[in-house]
Amino acid sequence: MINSENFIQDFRDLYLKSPQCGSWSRGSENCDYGDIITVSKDSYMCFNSGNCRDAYYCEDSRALTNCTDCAFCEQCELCYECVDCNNCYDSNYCQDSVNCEDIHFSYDLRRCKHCIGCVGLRDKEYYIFNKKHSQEDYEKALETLDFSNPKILEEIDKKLEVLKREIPRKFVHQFDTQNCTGDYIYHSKNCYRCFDTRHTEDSGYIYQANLDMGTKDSWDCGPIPTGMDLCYDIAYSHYLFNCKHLYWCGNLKDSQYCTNCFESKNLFGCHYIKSKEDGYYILNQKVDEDFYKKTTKEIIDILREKGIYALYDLLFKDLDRDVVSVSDDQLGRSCTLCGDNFEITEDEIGFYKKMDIILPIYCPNCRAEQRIDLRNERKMYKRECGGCKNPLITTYSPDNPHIVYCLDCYWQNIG
Amino acid sequence: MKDSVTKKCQGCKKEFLIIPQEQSFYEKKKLPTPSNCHECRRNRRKSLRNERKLYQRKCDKCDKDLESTYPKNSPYIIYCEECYYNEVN
Repeated sequence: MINSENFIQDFRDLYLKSPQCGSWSRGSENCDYGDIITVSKDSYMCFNSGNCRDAYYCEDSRALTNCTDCAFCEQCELCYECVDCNNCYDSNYCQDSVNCEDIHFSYDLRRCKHCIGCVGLRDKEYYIFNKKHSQEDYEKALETLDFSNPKILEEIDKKLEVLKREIPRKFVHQFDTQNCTGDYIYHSKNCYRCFDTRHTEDSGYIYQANLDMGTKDSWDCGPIPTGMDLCYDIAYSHYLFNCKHLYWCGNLKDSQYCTNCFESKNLFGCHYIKSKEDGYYILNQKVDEDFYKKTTKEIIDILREKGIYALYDLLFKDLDRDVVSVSDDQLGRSCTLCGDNFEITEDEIGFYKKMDIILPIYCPNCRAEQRIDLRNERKMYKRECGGCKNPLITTYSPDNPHIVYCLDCYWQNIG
Repeated sequence: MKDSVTKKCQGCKKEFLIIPQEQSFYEKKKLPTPSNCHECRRNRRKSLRNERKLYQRKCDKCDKDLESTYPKNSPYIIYCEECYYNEVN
């Protein structure tokens, strides 16, 4: 029996009783340690990355071959400790560089080869600290560069920092964008304060939408949303239309407050469900359309009364705390979690009205932090699959009370 | 196949592993094995990127209004797109 008054506790109980997948990978071989890995091979401790081969400790990257300790990189080979580098080869400790080979301790280089400690160079070879050297002198310098001596590394860092302060940099990282605010945005338009996102349009506060399937008309989505259309408060999900408050879901329509649900529509407060095309579901139970409409409205009113603004609140908020309410007229407000001031914009209000969402009392960063926290930290532990009892390497620690399945059991048992 | 090597992190003092494939990587590139564990290494890389916060400031060349992840008092020289392409690119 579904009772609106008990919904919050019932939702939390059902979440604890539903299996979670220990770690996720697709089309990969020998990548047991890591989480959210696609089409990769022989890679160890990589996270949210795809098309990697022989990569170790890499994160949020694509198409890395034999790289270690790289983040937000694409199409690199034999690179070490690089961040935001594309198409680089045999390079170490570089950042924001593209199409380079054999560069070290450098920042913002394009189409350069054989450089050490350089900033903002284009089409250059054999430069050290932005000064041209002969090939001989460069090779001598590289030979004597003792990477294992922390004093030498410190000296290089100091000289590099001096150069970094002398050479101008662009105010944000954007490429192929129109009317976008935020950082690390590509092939997008009309983005409001988005970060690490591509193929996004008419959206706001989208974080780490790093695949090509695009996001549009959505707010507060990410990490790792892809194929979002008319969505709000979504984390780690794909291919959603008109959905709110979801975590680890895919191919859903017209659904709210769900985790681990796939290929369905009209789900409210469900966990671990698949392929329910027909019908209306609350807390995994099939109900008729009228009951669904009446009860979900009742529940939403109760959630608003209790100060539930996001999926994270529904799962974890301490309900005994006083409910703070802010008048809708107050567009400039103070985040009730961190105290930072934030503004609610006209576009945002238009979206909230269209989607029937209450104005938030947390700032956009706290909202994003909450969504990030819905998934475990990037740490791996050894456990046993709750289904088949085989050994399982997972982000769930042994004392975590959740039921954790290997991918096979997770898909075989989903209702 | 080599064994994994255990080292003590110079940052957080925890023990960490260097697996055989990783050792081969460092040998191939003539690099030393790291002295910090992967979490301390990850934190260092994270600190290289700006926080996801936007500030109102001006281009240090043409004074145009900008919304940037670099605050007004940033030690770096911040240019708008046009000034940057004219000077650096």
